[in-house]
Amino acid sequence: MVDKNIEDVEEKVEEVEEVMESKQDDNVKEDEVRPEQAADYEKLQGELEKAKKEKEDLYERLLRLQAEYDNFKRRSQKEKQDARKYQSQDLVTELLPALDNFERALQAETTEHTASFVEGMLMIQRQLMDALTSQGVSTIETVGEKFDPNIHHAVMQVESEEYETDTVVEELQRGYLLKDKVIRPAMVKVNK
Amino acid sequence: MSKIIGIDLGTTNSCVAVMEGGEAVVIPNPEGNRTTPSVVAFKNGERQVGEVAKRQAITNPNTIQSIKRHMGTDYKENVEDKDYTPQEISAIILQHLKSYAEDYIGEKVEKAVITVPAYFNDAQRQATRDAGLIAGLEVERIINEPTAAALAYGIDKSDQDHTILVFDLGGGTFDVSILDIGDGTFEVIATAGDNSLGGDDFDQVIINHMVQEFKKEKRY
Repeated sequence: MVDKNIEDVEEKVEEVEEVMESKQDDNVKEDEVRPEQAADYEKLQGELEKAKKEKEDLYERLLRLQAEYDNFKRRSQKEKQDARKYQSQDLVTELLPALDNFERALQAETTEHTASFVEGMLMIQRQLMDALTSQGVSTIETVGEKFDPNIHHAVMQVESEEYETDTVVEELQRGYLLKDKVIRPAMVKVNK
Repeated sequence: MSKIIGIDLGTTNSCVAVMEGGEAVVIPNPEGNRTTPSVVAFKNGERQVGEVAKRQAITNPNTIQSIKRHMGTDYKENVEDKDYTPQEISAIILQHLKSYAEDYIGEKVEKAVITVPAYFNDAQRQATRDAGLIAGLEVERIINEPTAAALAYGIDKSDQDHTILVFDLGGGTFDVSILDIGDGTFEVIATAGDNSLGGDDFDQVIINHMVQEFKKEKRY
């Protein structure tokens, strides 16, 4: 009985010892887990950095887009204003060849037969010009004016005693302004 | 971060563009045109560039055109007792483009990409870079004109390899290049052309033809 008991106790001790040992093993295992946790931590740290960088990038892109949008808004407002101010520009540009031809036609010699016809043409031309003037169209001054490449396009040069240097001597094609904008510079001959 | 402008510094005409919402937009000049004559004029200490300079060209011997032909050489343009290098003249054109691009964008511009012909050598490329610097532009990159044309066409977006032919008919020059495109890289395999053939010659031929016809009609 006693022997049996002793055996039991010895068994128990062995069991306890085993458990203790396994606990120690566990402890060892816990030690082994730590580097893994460190790796996890590092991974998370890296992810955080990545997210931060991504946030920075997106933020910068947002700022840039915002700036681009503001500029776009400002510009389209200006374009709208311009479009209103120069609304008749396209129409005027299209009408220029007709205006040119009016002038050419009226340069033709008049005879007794055509006199009244020419007068009629002149009146129609004036009517058309009046309509354009009311829309802000004006002709560019040329002959006798100082040559200004902002409004004049020099295509020929002559030497003349009559005029001062750099003065427009002859107009070859009329130039037009729409308000303050040059629709077409005047084609001119300039004195040397 | 400021915007980067793209400049086609041409022999006859130049053009400036900017990326807007992912696409290139050509910036119109003050006269409302999409290209600006590469012309610089000096008069009584004043300086004119672009359309205005072109309009007064025949009245003023101090008008400089086609300066690009002299890029990378030690050619000097003497105007009113002052020597100008091709870089300096080009810089005046670049400055003009920069200034109206700034008006359009609404902020200062400090960086640019400039295109050059595929056949430009190192000296010519460096001269173009220097012209940018003089104009106050940091030149981010010098790009071959045919490459820029292919990019603008959107050819880099397909994932296939391509061999393409780019025709570039300008105002005063004509360039043809063969490009190899693959994996986002561009290689100029060959380039040739005519340095004195362009739209201006077409104009001249038409003028001559009209003069001839007129003479025939009037029996001169």
